[in-house]
Amino acid sequence: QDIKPRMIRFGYGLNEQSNQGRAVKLFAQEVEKASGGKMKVRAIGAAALGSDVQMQQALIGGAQEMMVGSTATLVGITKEMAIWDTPFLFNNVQEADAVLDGPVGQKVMDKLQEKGLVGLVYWENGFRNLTNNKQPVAKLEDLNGIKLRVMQNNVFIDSFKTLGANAVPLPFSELFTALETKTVDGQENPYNTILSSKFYEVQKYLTVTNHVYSPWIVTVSKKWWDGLSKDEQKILMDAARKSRDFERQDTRAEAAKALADLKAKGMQVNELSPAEANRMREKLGAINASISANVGEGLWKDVQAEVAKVRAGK
Amino acid sequence: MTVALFLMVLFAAMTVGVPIAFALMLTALALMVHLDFFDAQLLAQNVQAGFDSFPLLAVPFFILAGELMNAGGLSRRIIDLARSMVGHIPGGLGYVAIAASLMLASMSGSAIADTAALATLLLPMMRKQNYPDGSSAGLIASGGIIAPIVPPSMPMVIYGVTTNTSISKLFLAGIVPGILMAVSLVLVWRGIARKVQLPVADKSSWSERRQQLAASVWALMLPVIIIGGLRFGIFTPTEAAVVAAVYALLVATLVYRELNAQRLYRVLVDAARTTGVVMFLCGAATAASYMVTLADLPSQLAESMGPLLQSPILFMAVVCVFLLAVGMVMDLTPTILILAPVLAPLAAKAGIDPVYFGFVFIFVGCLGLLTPPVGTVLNVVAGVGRLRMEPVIKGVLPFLAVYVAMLALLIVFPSIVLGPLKLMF
Amino acid sequence: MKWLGTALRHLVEGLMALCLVGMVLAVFGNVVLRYVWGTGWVVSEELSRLLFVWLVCLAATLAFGEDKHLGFDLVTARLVGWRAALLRWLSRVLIALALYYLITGAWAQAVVGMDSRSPVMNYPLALAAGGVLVMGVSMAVLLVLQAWADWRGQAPAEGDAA
Ligand code: NA
Ligand code: NA
Repeated sequence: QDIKPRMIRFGYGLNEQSNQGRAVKLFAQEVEKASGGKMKVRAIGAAALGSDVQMQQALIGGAQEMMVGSTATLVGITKEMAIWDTPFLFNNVQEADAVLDGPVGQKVMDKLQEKGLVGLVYWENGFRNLTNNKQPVAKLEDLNGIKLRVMQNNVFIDSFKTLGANAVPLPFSELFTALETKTVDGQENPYNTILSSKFYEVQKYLTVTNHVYSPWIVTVSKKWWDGLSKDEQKILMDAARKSRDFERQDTRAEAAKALADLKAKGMQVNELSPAEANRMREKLGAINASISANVGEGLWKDVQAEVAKVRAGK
Repeated sequence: MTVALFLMVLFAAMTVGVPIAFALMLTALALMVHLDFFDAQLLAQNVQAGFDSFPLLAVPFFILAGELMNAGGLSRRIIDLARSMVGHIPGGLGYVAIAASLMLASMSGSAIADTAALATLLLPMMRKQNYPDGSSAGLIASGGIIAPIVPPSMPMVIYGVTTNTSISKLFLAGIVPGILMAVSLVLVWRGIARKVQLPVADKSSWSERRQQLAASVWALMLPVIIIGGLRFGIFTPTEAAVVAAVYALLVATLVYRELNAQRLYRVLVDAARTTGVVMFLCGAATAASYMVTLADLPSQLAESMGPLLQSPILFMAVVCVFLLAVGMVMDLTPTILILAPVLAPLAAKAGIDPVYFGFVFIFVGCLGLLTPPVGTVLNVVAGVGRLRMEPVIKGVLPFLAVYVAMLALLIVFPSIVLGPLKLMF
Repeated sequence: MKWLGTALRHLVEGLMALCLVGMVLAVFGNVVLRYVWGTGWVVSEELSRLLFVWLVCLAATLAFGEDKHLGFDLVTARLVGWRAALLRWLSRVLIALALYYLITGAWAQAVVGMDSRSPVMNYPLALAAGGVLVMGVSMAVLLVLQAWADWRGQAPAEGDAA
């Protein structure tokens, strides 16, 4: 086997004890095992190598080897990544897995290569859910007038405006204070984030909306990747697949536990009915049209067809 | 080894006369060679990352607000009021500085922003009254670090998130020690004011004081707006900073009418220039701390700590000494991000209350903001006051000493922190 | 040549003031929008940060030209004659070394950033990395000018160029 001693700096944003940290650790172990200890992975969490954007640019420039981060940040490099921001695209994790790991998910990932990145696998950040301090959100109209913090991303802002909320873009770093001082009434994130960022201390109502599925993506610097032997590339690819399967299982278990914890901490939890989710989805027609125009109609149709196929298969 | 290399390169470069920011960049380069992954992109990228940050926008905004208050006559009126109230005490402006630190601390969570505001506002006044520059700067820097101790506090939120500690409890834990800090500053300042002959004004009459109060009421509204705005959720801390600047601009131009277009332009340029010096240093420090992180300082440390876990007091003492040493060369935020996840579990193993440990961690980390060579708050004071580092470092020493004494008390008597906390819950 | 330096300094100062005003408008405007129209200004954060980067790069360059960056003068202030000159030149060489890598690194990142765009405003990230590049190059030019003046036996003129 053609394996040279390699040091791989693998950056990620959350801390070592998070689902992200655990999965990076597993990846590191798998790589070392498969390479007989020749390839070593330095896992560096807590954004110590910088924000997602900073790491991304370092990867493209060849100054860092690997990272895992949000697909949303990659939209600035590869516009097709915006397809995963589509609200209510997936109904459940099975649909997400099938589409992301299928040919369409691969096609979107391969687009990164022209920009100097190699995508290996998608991990799961999770379905995003809504918390707020005003009222339980049981139907579309309940969103009216809620001052909702959203990510600084046009799709999210326009989506929640269309649904009737007062969408306020704020950086995540300011979010806790903004909720605590009631600068905004609510926010939306996966359960794990709501728990780990202690939003339950400053938020009363949690609505299970599952309005967007947020994937993470493991990427490699193409400059560095192209210098690897086929054997080395295979070791990384295999370890990435193992880490993906582990990460998804781990994240789902943690999310279920996080939801239970949030209930135990006193959050009032209610579920958005499928009928109401459908009403929201229909209201977002114009948003979907603009996403479709952005990513290309061909890709949009491919994804919809793939989702339909998974749904029909069940 | 890494720390040794870091200090060697940094001190050697600074001794030759290289400005600190460039010395830090050279340090980053040396560490990159040492770690065997030299890439100039990492230097440029991290220098940029050091000031490409939204929360840090509070720094230029508070600097601007301070400059506007100076040029627009707001600070003069506050100082006149303070002078009429406590000016007859020797060293009165020092007490004004301490009171203002505590007040600002309850409005903002960033030591850098607070110190920038205090230094811009008070240093010129103290200089005008012939206070020794070093002691004035030292007092202001020491007052500035009350900001992250008294709620709200950015570092405490970061600590709470990275270690899963209750942020509200951390916040409440800081109230009593924050007041203690102010009290100890008063004690030290009284000693200094006795030694140095400072100008003493005549005691003002009550009608004079009332007049000063009326004249400065618009200026006094500024802290009220900030506190109220934050408390009632009208804006976030970064926004509070910009609102302060706009409010100061409006009062200076529309109410006091002391600011014409030409002077406003000078104020903008001066505030921008000060921002450039402060933030360029911040960028260089970010590049250096990036390399320290990669050098794997944290895990080297965790191994050597094992046997200490038997005695909580000994453990705390060792951790504090270590954090003081780290604080010399590293900024507070990276210290928290890198070391808190390593040390907090160790503290839990040693049977130490997590809120108490978190508070002490932040407190010691804040002391690092006052120690050279990488003392961010010192740099801010020196940058804003356009002072050399040497007198500033000398000036901060007595205050630093009383803080360290306070730290020793907190280690021996954890109930100073935990007692009031239990009363609140 | 003197007039060119003065004109450049005025230009840089004007740009710095513009950046600062822009930052105030971007962040304050967002607050106003939230209270008057109950909404936010989506470009507020990105715009203010980009202006911030340029403000720092321009102002740090100006401060470099005016020798305003903080340093220790414990040793250098006590030396005269050839010893002082030796340290002065040594320090210039070290600064030049730091600037060389800052410039090459910023150049590489600017090239990478040509093809990457910011999430909201969609500006090329090279615009931010370019600030660092401009800063590095301008500081290098100033360093050479200062060295040249020193070589010809003139005291480095304060604020001669920026
Ligand atoms: Na505070
Ligand atoms: Na320090």
